[in-house]
Amino acid sequence: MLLNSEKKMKLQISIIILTVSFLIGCRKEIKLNLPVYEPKMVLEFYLENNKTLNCLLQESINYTDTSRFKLIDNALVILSYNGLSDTLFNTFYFDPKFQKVYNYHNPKIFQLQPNIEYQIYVKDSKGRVMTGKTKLNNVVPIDTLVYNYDASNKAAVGLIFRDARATKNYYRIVAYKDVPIVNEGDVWDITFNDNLFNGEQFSFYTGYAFNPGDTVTGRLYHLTEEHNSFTESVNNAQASNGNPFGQPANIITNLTGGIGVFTTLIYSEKKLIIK
Amino acid sequence: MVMSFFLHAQKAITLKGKVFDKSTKETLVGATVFIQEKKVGTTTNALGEFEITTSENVARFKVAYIGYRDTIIVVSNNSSYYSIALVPAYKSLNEVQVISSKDDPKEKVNDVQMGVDRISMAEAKLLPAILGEVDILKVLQLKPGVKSGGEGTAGFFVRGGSNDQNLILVEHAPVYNPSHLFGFFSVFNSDAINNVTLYKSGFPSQYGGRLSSVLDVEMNKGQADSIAVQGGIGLLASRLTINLPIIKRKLSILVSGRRTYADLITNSLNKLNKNKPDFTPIPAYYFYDFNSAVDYQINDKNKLSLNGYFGNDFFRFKGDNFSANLLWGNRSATLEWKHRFNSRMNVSTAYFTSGYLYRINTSFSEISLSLGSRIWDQGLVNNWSYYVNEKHTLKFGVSGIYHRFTVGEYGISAEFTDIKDGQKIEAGEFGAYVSHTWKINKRVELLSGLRNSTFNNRNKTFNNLEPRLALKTSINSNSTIKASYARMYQYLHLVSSSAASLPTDVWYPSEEGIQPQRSDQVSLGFHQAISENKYFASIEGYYKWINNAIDFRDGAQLFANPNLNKEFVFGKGWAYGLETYIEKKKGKTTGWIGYTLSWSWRQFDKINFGEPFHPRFDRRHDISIVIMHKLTKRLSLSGTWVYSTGNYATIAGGRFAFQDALPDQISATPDYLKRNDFQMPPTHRMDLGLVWKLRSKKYESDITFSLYNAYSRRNPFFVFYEEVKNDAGQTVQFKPTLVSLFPILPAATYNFKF
Repeated sequence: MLLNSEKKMKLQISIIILTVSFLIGCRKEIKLNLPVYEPKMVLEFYLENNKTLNCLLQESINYTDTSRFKLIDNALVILSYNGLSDTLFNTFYFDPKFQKVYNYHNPKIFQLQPNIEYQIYVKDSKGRVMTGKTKLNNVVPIDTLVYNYDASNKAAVGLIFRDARATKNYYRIVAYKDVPIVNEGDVWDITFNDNLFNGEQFSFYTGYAFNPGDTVTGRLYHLTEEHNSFTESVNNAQASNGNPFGQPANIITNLTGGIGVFTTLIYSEKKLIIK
Repeated sequence: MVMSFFLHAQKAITLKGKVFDKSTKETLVGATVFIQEKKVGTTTNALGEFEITTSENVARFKVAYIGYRDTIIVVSNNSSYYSIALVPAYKSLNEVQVISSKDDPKEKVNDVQMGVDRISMAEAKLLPAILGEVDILKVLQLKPGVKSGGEGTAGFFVRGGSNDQNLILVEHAPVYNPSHLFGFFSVFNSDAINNVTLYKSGFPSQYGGRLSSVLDVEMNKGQADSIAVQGGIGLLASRLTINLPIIKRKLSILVSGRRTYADLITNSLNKLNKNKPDFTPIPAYYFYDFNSAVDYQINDKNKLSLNGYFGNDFFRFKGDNFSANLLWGNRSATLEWKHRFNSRMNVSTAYFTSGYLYRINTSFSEISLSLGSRIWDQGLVNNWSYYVNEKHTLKFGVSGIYHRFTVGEYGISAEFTDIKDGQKIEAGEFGAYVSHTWKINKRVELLSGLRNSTFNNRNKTFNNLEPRLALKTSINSNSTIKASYARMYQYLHLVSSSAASLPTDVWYPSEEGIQPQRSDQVSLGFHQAISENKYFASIEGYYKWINNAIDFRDGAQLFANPNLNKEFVFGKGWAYGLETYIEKKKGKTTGWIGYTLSWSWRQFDKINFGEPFHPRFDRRHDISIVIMHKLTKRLSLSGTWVYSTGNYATIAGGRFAFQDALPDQISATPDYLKRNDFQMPPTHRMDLGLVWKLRSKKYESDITFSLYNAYSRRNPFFVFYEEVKNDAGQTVQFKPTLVSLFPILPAATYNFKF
C-alpha cells in the first residue's frame, strides 16, 4: 500500500532518528570521488484536457553544480496522436494559478480523447533523442466534499469517492483555497493507490488547514501508472539522499533516451464554502 | 589444581564421571574432558556426564569449562566414576584468565570444527563498552570475518552474508530482531548470558535455516545452592539478576531484568517546558528486557529447564498535528527435557515458542493509522547423541517449526472510513539430520553430516538436502589443517532496506515464486597452538556462493505493503576472503589480533543494470586488536582498536529540478548512478576500559569505566548532499557532507554480586 501518509510517517520516523544522529553527531564537508556524471535530458509533460500544451525540458546536472537547473533550448518537441501531431515551441509559458513555468509551449487548447495513444518525440541540438507514450485515464467522480471543525475553529475537508474494483488505480487528492494564485502553503496534497479499499467507498481528510469563509476546491486526480511510478520514485530518491535508513531509488520513467514523465492528467473537482 | 583419586591404570580403561559447579552443584554441559598426552577427549553431555575410553595407560586427565579454572584429575583405581567439581574462574585473582574449555588453544587446534568463535560473558565484561552497556554481539564484531553494520550498531555480517543470514538461537528458540534502540544495542542482557558460540563455516548439521552463520546463545542457569544477587547501575540502563534455590540442589529460579531510563529525563524536561510556546516535546524512548530460567534436576538421569525472554522497546512522540507510538519486541520461551539413557546415549527434547512484533499507531489530524507486523513460531527440537566408541560418535535429530506471519498489518480510521487489513501466512519448517564424527586415525578426523530441510507455505513445498563435511589433519600435536564444506538453505527473508536493524524490518517466507536462498561454502584453514599453549593462531580462507539471493526492486515499498512478494528481485552473490588471527590466552596480558581481507558481490538482473555490485557492508580490510591486562588483583585494563575500509553507499551523481504539475516547491531530485558506487572513508576507533574491583568482604563489586572512541575519530555514518543557502534563503549549491555519530563517550557502571 502506497499511502502518502505512510510515507510521511516513515519519513517522520527517519527524521526523528536522523535528528538524534545530528544532535549527537557531527557533520563535515568531504570530497566525493564519484564517476563522471553524464547529463541526461529530463522532461515533465502533463497533458491536460482543455488546456494548452506545455512542458518543461531540462538537462540534469552534476549534483555539486552551482546552478539550480539547466534548461534545454532549441529542441524539437513533437506530440503525436491518432495520425496527427503538434509541435511545442521553445518559448516560456507561465501558469499563474499554480505558479508553474514551462519552456516549450503550444497555445492550442487540447482535447484529450480516450483509447488513443499519445506519443512524444524530443530531439535536442546535441542530437539526443527522447521518446515516450501514454494514454488517457477515466475520470473518477467525487461523491461528496465535506468539512468539520476542530476546537480552534479550523476546518478539515474530506473528499469521498468510490474506487473502481476492476482496475488498479492511483489517486492524488488536492484541496486548496480558491485564490487567484495558489501557493504551496494553500494546498493539501496526498497520493495513494487503491490497495486498501479496492472497489470500496473511501474518504480522505485534509489537516485542519482551512478557515471559516474559505472557498475550497477539492480535486481527485486519477493518475496513470507511469505518472504514479515517476512521482513515487522522485519522492523515494529525494528521501534516500544519504539516508542510512533509506532504500536506494532510481528514477522510474516512461521515457527512453532520458528521464522524466510524459502523461495525461485528468481529474474531477468539487467546491465548497466553509461556513 | 590437582585432585587425587589414586589409581595406576595398567591397560585400556574407560573413564566416566560428572562435572559440576563446586559451589552451586549445577551440572556443566559441554565441559571438555581431555587426556592431553594421548590427544583424546570428549565433552560432557546434556546431564554433565562424560565417558572417555583410551587404549593406553593414563595417569591424569584435564577437565575444563568456560568461566571455570582448568582442573587436572589424577586417575585412581579406587574409582570408576568421577564427580568433578570445578571452581569458577572469577575466584582466581592471580591473573586475567578467562578461557572456555573449547577455547583452549590446543582444543581449538584439535577440534574438527573450523570457523568457530566463542565468547564468554566474563570475557566480554572485561572489554570497554559504549555507554558502559556490555554487549556480547559487539564483542563478536571484534573477531575476524564478523563485521558490524555501522558505527555503534549491534548487527553483524559474517563472511559476506547479510544480517538476515545469521541464525540467532537462544536456548533453541530463534531470535528475529536481536536489537534494541534501532540496532545500537542487542537484546542480550550481560547478566543473563553465559556465553555465545558463532559458527561461520562447516556448520554442524543440527543447524539450518540461514546462509551465513549460526549464533548459539547460552543463557545463565539458576544455581540450586544459595541465593545470589547481581546487577549493575549504568548511564544507559540498570540491571538486576536474582537467583533463588527452591529445592536445594534440585530446583532453582533465576530472574533477570534490565531497563533504560532516558525517558524519565525527557519526560521531566517535557513537563517543565510544556507551557513554553516554542517548545517541541522530546520523544520518549526506553527499552526493557526480562529473562528467566527455571532448572529442575529431577534425578541423575533427567533434567528439566524452562527459559524465557520478554523484551520491548517503546518510542513515543507527540507533536501538534502528529503523534506516534512505536512498540517492538521479542518474546521466547523454551521448555527442555534432557534425559540420559546411559553413559553413551542421551537425548534432549525442547519445545519453544518465539515471536517478534512491531506496532505503530499514529494520527494526523482526522486520520488514525496503525501499522504492524509479527512473526510467531512454535517449535519442537529433538537431539540425540550416541557415543559409539573412541572412534565414532553419532548425532541425529529432528526439528519442526510452525511459523505464523502477519505481514503489512494496517488500519486506517477516519470519518466514513474504517479499514483493517494485513496478510496472514502460515508455514512449516522441518529438519532431520545425522552427523558422524569419525576419528580415522591419530591424525585424521572426519565430521560428516546430512540435513534434510523441508518448508511448506501455501501448498508449495520445498525439500532440500544440505550436506556438511569437515576434515581435520594433524601435522603434529600443535598444528592442524582443516577443511570444510557446507550447504545451507534459507526459507525466511528479511524485508529491510537498511544496514541498521530497524523495528519495521519484517520477515517473509518462501512461497511459489520466492525460491529459498542457498549458499555453498568451502573453507580451508591452518591452526596452530604456540609457545606451550599460550597462543593460538589461525589462518582461514573461504569462498561462498549464494544462489537465489534476494533483494528488492529499486524504489520498492517495504513499509506496510501487503503485497511484499511483488517487491522481491532474485539474483546471486559470491564472497571470498582470508582471515588471520592470533590470540594470547594465558598470562597477565591476554587478547587477540584479527585481520580479514575479503570481497563480497551481488548481481541481480533488475538492479544496477544487471552489473555486479558490492553490498554496502563489504569491507576490503578489517583489523581488530584487543588487549586485556591485569594490572593488580583489583585492577584490569583493556583496550580495543578497530580499523575497516569504509562501507559502500549509493550516492547520487546528478540532479534535476522536479517541478510537478501542481503547486509544490521546485525540488532538487537526485539521479543515482549505480548501486553502491561510492565507498565511504575508513573507520577506525580506539576504546579503553578499566575494571576496578572494590574491597568488600561481604560481596563482590566493581566499577567499570569505559571510554568509547578514545581519540574521538569522526567515523562515517552516512553521506548526504547538504543545501547551501544564500542570505535570501535560496539554495545556491549542494555540498557532499559526511555525518559521523559518536564522538568520545566516557561511561561508568557500578556492578555488584553477592
